[in-house]
Amino acid sequence: MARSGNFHRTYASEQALWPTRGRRFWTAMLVLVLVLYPLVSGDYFVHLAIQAFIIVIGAAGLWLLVGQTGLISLAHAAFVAVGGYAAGVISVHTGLGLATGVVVAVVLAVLVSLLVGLPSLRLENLYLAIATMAFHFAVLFVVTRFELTGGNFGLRLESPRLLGWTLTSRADFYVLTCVAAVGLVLLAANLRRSRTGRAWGAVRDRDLAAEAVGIHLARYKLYAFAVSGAYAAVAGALLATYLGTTSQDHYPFVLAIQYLSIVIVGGLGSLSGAVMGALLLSLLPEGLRLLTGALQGSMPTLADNLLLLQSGLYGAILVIVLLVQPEGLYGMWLRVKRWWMTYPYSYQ
Amino acid sequence: MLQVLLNGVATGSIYALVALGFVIVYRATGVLNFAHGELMMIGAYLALLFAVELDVPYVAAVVIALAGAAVLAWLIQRVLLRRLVDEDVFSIVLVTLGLSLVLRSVVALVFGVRERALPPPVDTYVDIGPVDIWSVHLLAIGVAIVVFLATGAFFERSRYGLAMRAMADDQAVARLMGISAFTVFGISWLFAGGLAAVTGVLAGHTVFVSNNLGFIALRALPAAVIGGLDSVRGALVGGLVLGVAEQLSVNYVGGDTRELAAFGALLLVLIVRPYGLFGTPEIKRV
Repeated sequence: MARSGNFHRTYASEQALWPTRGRRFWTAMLVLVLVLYPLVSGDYFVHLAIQAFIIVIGAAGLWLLVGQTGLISLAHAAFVAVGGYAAGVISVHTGLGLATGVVVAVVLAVLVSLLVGLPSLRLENLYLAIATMAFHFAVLFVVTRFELTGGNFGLRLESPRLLGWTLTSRADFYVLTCVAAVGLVLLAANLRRSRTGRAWGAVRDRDLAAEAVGIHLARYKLYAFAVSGAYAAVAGALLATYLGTTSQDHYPFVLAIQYLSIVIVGGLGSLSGAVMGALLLSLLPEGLRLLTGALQGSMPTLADNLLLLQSGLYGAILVIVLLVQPEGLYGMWLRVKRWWMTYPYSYQ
Repeated sequence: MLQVLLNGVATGSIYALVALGFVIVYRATGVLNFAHGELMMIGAYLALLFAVELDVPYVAAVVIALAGAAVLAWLIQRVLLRRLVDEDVFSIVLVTLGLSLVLRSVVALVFGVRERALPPPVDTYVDIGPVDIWSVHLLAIGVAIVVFLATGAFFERSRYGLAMRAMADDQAVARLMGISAFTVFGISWLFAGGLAAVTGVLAGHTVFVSNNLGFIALRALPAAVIGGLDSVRGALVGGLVLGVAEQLSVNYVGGDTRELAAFGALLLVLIVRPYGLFGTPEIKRV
């Protein structure tokens, strides 16, 4: 009979990232797939993968804030914008490489996150959602009023360089974003099991009790905002560099909701859920484009309103997942796994 | 100066009506309805459809729009939000946000994205002493006065108003006293939906009707929060303050600053008095 139950005997084994042989095997397979993917698939699919990696980075950051710390934020798109504009300004006005751009983006995002984090110390749930929403509009308003950031028109980025390496082809970008995504997801996983991550978990589960056992609420909430903002800024910087342009149209309020729906579709309980959600939903726009392209003949209005259709679909997915499967993909996976492990019994 | 203040009061009464929509739903159900702006948009489009395209008399078209939006709001409550009773605020906020996206794209697919004008029934300027007032503004102020008086009377005098106040005060106790929570939820959404349609029509007179009409609700959200999300009086004061402040900043500082000013005021109020000027503070227990 398959084993069931919790077999950990030490804290070390419970906290290990790859506790079982199966987990190690699948991780190795994943690495293999990531390496082979650009070699076997075409340019278009590499392009999809790059976009997916960038979204994975942003989603991992939002998950640390929403999933792990339990704070709601509608300002994630604003942080992506901060990153994108930082990379853009560095590239256009100083001619320095992407490395400087990313560093500046992260520093700026951390500073901005302190601003947005401050009201969060007094606000909960609903009011936090309102405050972060206000913040999104405030940030975009401020950003587009500067000569430096190109105002309403945005910026065109120069050909990107990273520490003497000129990124020219899609393959270069694939390597860059893949390494960044894998590294940052690993960092997030490690943060989760560190002292900080467990403190965040305590804040999420019951903040007053967490404070009572000695967790400095203000510090950890601000820390969560800073880390999530930094992730978003990296995603923004990479996106702006990859697209070669940044303008306010890239960071609508809908983007913040899209990121939230990614985290929720994946399942708030786990980082791997957020990554799965990001991979799945990053393909949604392309799938939709193919679908409306196929329906072009019979329903031409659909193809004309692709963006609208897309945001509507994100909204619908958000509503349906929250009503039908609030635990998201991760919850579904757990259910399947439990069914498999305990078969033919319905419980352990 | 007087003219600017008057314009501010007129804009402010539209904001106050929007804020009232937020407040009614929030008081009774504890839900902040991020899709309120989209209900306004649907009300405006229904009025546009009947008044402009089907040539129904103006008042009849507004009544149809009111009924349509109210029924839609009730359906949203009945089909979606009733399942989320006792869920955490987080999911409810996101469901209404998701819903607003869905409604906006459905309306755009049905009516197109083109901006259209919704002509007001009377379009003149009335000369009152030193100031001129646009008839639409006069209409907005009049509607706001009537609606706020009616809402006040409803909450103070009627049986259902009492039930709604009881629910706002303490849901568990109110339900134990035999108040049907679902009746109260239904009435408040019905009411808010109808109000949204009226507000949407008024807003449609002042700006063009498009699928972005709902953003007016996001702009009025600071009014509701500044006044306190559970206070009718707060909605009125918050709306008027926001409207006047907006007009003052447009006239004396520059057109672009108004949104920043509103959201800045919002952040400030949230930091100093998170429950708003007239709201009730909540006490948390472990």
